[in-house]
Amino acid sequence: MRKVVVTEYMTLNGIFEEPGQWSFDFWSEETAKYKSDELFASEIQLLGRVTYEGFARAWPTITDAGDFGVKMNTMPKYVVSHSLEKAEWENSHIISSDILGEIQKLKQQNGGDILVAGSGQLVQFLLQNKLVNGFHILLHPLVLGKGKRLFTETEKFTFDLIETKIFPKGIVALHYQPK
Amino acid sequence: MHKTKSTFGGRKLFLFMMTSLDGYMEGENHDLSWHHVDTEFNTFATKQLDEADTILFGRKTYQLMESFWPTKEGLEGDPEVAKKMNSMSKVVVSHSLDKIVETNIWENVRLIRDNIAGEIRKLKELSEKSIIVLGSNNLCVTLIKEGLLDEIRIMVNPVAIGAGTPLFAGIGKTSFQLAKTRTFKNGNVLLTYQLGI
Repeated sequence: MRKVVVTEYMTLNGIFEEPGQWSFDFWSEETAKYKSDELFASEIQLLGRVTYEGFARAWPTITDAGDFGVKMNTMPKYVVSHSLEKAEWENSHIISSDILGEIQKLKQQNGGDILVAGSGQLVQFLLQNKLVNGFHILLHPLVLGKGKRLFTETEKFTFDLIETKIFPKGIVALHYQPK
Repeated sequence: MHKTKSTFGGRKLFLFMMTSLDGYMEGENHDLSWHHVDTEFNTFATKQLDEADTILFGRKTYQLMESFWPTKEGLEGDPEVAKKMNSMSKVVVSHSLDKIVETNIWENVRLIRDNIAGEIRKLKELSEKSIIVLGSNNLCVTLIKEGLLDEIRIMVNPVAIGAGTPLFAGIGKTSFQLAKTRTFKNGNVLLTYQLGI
């Protein structure tokens, strides 16, 4: 069985989108290693359309990200979308129907984690359907004046705290498991 | 310069705020039912109140506290915290409240209506111990903008609630310095940040 690990950058006031615009002030080698370890523990990426399109635009053009970049570009990507017709990023597959069934099939395989980054709507769907094993927040020491939030439905999701990790410049990783 | 006190001299003004995992300080309709509170939390809350000699509130939090701590539910729910909340010196900042009601249980309350920054600076100079702000999201935005808040202690609860009032709603992009972290058995994580460094 593969584990589904959700990984999110977040501000103290719950904003999770476009971390490229606010995360770099707090970046460090230690945080880079954390993200690298996370990626290399994974075999598959599972993404919603918006996050997929952002990654698909950026990653093929990034040539100086070493092994991390190679992995991002070559690993299998599954994008959940009813509207996407073509997924042109290397090794991409579209899931447009029987979403629950297709994701369960991926989970049934043996191997590395299924990594879910961004993908707000998809993450809520996964949590509602009890498909998430690890829920990891990379909490940054700032508040932002505006931005999208991950959770947009008033359903409550409760978690068990598994561990916390502290990084330089005030970033704290909070690892949870859905209850 | 090594700072043990606030920028303006006088005592430390620190915030304690519970938040959901998704950065809300209250749910819709001021819902706080998602707060994870247990014996360990109550021991922590009592100790934290002991650090201060004054509690500072904005109007909404003040009214919430006033309607809970002096009642049977508050007094019996957590007697230690109730005793402190009811008897400690309390200062409420509000333009719209015109009077304060003190009773023989809910004592020691003062209202600040004008010259908020000036009055709080005076408070910091005159206090013997630290001053604690509880909740008071709107007041915090003012305190942060005025450079009066020295420290924020955010207790992240292990629950996402999806809607409500975000932490420091109305503020622009603001960064903080992480000073320490503490985890609790119920999954709450206390994050202490410093400001103005």
